[in-house]
Amino acid sequence: MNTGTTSTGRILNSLKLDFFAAKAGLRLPMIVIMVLVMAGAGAKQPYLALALVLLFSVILGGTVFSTLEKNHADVMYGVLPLKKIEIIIGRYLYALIISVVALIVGSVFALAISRIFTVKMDNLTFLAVLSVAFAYYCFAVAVAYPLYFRFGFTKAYIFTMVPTYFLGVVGVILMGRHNFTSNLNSVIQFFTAHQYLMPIFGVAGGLVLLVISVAVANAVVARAR
Amino acid sequence: MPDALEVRDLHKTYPDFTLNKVSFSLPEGSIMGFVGQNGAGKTTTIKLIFNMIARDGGQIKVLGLDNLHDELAIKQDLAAVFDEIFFVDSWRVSEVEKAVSGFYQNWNSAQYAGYLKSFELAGDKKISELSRGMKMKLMLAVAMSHGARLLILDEPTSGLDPVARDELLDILLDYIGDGARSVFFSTHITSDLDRIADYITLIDHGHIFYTGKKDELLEHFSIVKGRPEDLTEDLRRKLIGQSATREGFIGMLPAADAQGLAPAVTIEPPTIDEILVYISKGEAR
Repeated sequence: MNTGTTSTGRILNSLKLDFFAAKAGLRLPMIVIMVLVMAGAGAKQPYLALALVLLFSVILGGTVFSTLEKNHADVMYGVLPLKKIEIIIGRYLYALIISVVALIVGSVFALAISRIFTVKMDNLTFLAVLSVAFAYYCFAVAVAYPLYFRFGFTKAYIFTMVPTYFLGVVGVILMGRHNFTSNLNSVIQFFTAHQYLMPIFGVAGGLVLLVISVAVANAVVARAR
Repeated sequence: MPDALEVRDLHKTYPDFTLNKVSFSLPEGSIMGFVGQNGAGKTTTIKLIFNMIARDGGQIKVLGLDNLHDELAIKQDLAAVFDEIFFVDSWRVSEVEKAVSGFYQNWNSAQYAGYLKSFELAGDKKISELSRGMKMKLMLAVAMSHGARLLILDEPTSGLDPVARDELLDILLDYIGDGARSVFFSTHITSDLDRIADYITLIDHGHIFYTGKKDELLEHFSIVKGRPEDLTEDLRRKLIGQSATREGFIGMLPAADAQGLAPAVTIEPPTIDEILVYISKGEAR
């Protein structure tokens, strides 16, 4: 009787399986990303192209759930020698890899647009867009994935946008306050003086959200069983 | 003979269904048919064996190991075929191996290629393009290519034409040929079991009605047919289930109770299908 591969090996196998499963569903979003890049190029706005690519990549993170659900593949994961937590960690790694690829692709296109149309890109804005977009991506995944694990893609998809709308409402309320502009100025001044901290805040904040979400997803899956 | 699968007092409660203290065992090197009508608890039992759902009580041992504590080790030696294919339909047949082989330490690529060849499954075909019978064969090829010692099939023949069903049964008989491998086969098409099963477990509304050797099951019950006037109150009480016919009645009772009936009552051995039908009728009564 075998004892199975290592936990790391199984997580990586699960991640590979996720990419295999999602492969077919990634074609259409790739076309959409090219359209978004074109839109950024048309407007001669490299940051716009970058931000749109990163924001749209959130949808890519959900395609694996959609494809697996359509194909009753939860049974496949149940049959394979895999622990539930390994499936969950593999799925979050999938989301992380999608975001990193989107960051690289978006940055390359943004730089290309900047060169072609001789639009200047300053470091602070570039890092700000990257950091905020990554943090938003992680936030969206952190909210959506536990819901997808618990209720499935079809049932949960509509609710995964609720926290984003909530954030929007909070943003509008904050902007309505009189000290908002001065507070925002202080934040901008701080990050202008310490530019290296911006990606650290964005990446660290995003990763913390994902780690919390992994724990929530694991608890939710255990409870559902 | 050691047991390939041992289920003891398995219990699972849903709001509208209870799997109630299910117990049975499958000796190594045998084929067991797990028979019951739709909704009887067959798939729930199989999902519990794979630990896809949590049980409320009981114990499951696969090849002598507990299915919860030794889940990963067990799943290396356990394979499954379900009524619906669970691979992504946009995959090509050749991609299935790439997707799942990494999970199994004893994956045998040559054996998988051999199965694809003997099942006439082209590697470049998409799963969505395969017929139902070919999908079943693909799942079998995967299931039998990683050295699994227990193959569990959940309604594999439903929706298959008679030729494809016959082929599947031949494959299963060949699979257990070495005496070390076993098959647990859930179905409601009981004619399949007449040909290949050594053991039968009958489940009805979450309860095990019978578990044991197939031949003993058939010897255990009798079908009786007679005119209306032959259906005495005593016989009516003994019948497990009954139906009205144009000539009178037909029903099933324990073989031991079939002695001393009126001479006009005919007694016949049952088929597994008839046993299933009359158990269900008896439950409804």
